[in-house]
Amino acid sequence: MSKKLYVLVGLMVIVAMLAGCAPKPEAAAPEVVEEAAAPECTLKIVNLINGVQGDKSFFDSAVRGTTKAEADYGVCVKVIEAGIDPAKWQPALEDAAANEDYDILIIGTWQMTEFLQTLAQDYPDKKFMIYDAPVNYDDPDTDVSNVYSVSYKQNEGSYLAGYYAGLMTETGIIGVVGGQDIPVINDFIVGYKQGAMDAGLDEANVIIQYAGSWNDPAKGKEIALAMYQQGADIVFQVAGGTGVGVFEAAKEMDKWAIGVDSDQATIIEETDPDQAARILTSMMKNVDNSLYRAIGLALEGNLGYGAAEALGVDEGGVGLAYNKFFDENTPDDVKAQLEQVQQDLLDGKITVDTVFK
Amino acid sequence: MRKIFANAAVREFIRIVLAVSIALLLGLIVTLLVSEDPWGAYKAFLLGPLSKFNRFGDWIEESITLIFVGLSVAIVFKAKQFSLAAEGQLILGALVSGSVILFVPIESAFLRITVAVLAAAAVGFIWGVIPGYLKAYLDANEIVSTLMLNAIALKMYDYFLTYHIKPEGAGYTASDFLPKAYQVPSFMPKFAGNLYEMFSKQTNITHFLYIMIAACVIGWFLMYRTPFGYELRMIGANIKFARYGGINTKQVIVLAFAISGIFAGLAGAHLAQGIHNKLILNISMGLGFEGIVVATMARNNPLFVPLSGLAYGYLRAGADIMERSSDMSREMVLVVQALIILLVSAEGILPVIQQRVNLNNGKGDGVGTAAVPEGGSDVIQ
Repeated sequence: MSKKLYVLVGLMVIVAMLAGCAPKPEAAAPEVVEEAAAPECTLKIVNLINGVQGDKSFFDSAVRGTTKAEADYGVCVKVIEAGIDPAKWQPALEDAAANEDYDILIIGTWQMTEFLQTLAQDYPDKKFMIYDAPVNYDDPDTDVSNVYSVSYKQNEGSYLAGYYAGLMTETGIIGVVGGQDIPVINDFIVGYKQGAMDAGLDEANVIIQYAGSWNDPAKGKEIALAMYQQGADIVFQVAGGTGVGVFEAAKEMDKWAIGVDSDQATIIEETDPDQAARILTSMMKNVDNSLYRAIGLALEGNLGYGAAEALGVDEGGVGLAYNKFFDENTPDDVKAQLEQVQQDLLDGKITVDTVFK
Repeated sequence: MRKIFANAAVREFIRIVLAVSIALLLGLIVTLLVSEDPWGAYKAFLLGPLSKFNRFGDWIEESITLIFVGLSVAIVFKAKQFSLAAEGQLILGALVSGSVILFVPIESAFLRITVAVLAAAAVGFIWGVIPGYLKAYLDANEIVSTLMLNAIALKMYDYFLTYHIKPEGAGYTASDFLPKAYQVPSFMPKFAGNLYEMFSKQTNITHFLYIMIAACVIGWFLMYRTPFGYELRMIGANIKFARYGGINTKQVIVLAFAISGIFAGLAGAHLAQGIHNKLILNISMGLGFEGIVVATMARNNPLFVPLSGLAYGYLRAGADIMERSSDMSREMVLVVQALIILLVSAEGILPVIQQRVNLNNGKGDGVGTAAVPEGGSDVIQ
């Protein structure tokens, strides 16, 4: 009998250890705060991400945006992670729309648009925001007048990244790792390529490859290593969580990488300074700012539901991260040229090609 | 007391209840340690799938897929062939059935859907013959060969989807939606009126429910009422003896792999035609391997597969809801889930207790050996 007792105690110890290993920052996560502050909410917001937090890029940026709005505007935010299995995304959205207590439901990415397209009209007294891809406002069969869409001119920001990479490269070869072969990602790549060519690179020397996944760092690393071995010295990652592997490869090979969506070097610096030091800059797609701005507008009652907005460099929707790593590693003449190009872009002297026409 | 224990089914039932209770208790301890609101989180986990109609639908839909793959795994495991081919068969089944609906110009909806489902079953069959043949005639280790074939199937799926099926200008890598007219209808007949409205609007439970029930019965019949099933079980029990007894073991092994593939192919058809109504990248995320859990809990008996499939589907649906509606992180949810599966599939739990009981009673009539019910612990060598 005592043997069994030992086993039981042992099991409990293991369980306790497992529990101890669990990351505790949940306590600081926004969803907990929301309960306590419920009566004073100016707006109740559900931020549903069809992935997981911790990609240090796209979804983290979205969460940052709503968290900031929570602090500044007194809105209540609940973040729901629908996980990485695409089969769960539609149920998660339907479940949240039907059962959560909210005024505005925020979702993102192209995959979710078609679910929202048909779902929005079932909740006419609720509001929806979708970022990174617009719903189709011309569809006669569905009513999406309660949906605000915001997308980003990633081609403009990527143009800057490409131009910068073109100036910085020593081998004359640069690479880009895309998450999937889809229009949003190709919009990055088109801009990146154009920028690099304007900086004097040959079209054939921009290596393009797709990882096929957003959550596969090993794959990202493998692809980046192959690119470095082909002579590339700067690789731009446009692959969400997969891109973490690109940074690992850059660190391992002592080459350069360019991040995406968030200011990734600054984020990664906290955990891995050596890796962060290999990230020249990041092409920020400022999901956080756009959501923060939209929530602010919604509070004032000025948000344009029933319409889509595209934010570019001008509106602060996209742009390079001019952080300390950029400062340290960039020669002054490159900085000057880049500044000039950015100004040209703002003045409309440069038109960046796009896949969305 | 002893008399009740003599009944294998009762023992099995008690064993599972016991295992689940211990597991839930451990899960609760984990939740208590991690969550700010453990009772709410655990309630979401335990009662979530029943709390809302759409969640109930999610549970049943998930379970249907799980039951199909569970059947698939049960059949091949019964012959003690440790095949992991279900994942690949499922993926190809989804690819083929979705493609048939999208591209084969058959006018009648009934016919087109039937052809699609049969095609999925056929491709599963073929994708089972290959590792079966490799194992039976070339003595290739089935674990290795099936895992490799899974990778091939997955890449084939990605290739066809990305370069041939994806429509021009699609926002992400996916096919068009299957045309409305050719989608599998809701399992509720139209004349049920309100009920039909409710089910078809809030859930995706389709006619695959009936196919699934039929598949379980057929699987059981095949395994326990046909010569093939007898030979299959003989091979599982003792392959040398089966060969000595005149069974064409090679042929039966190939068939076991292939027939198991039929059910996995149907699971794929359900994913494509029942759940997503389109083909997407990463359509499965390892569902084929979940079949192992389902089959193991069902002791590889096709009649128990629906029960274990529903139970496991409930766990998965509950875990999803806990993750979405509480502060439990995905990782902790998986730990709780894994604890439960571990304990439920630990077949030794009750037999050990039972042997003690028997010893104490000085009873040696063989109940101890019968503690393992028909088809008992022959999961893996």
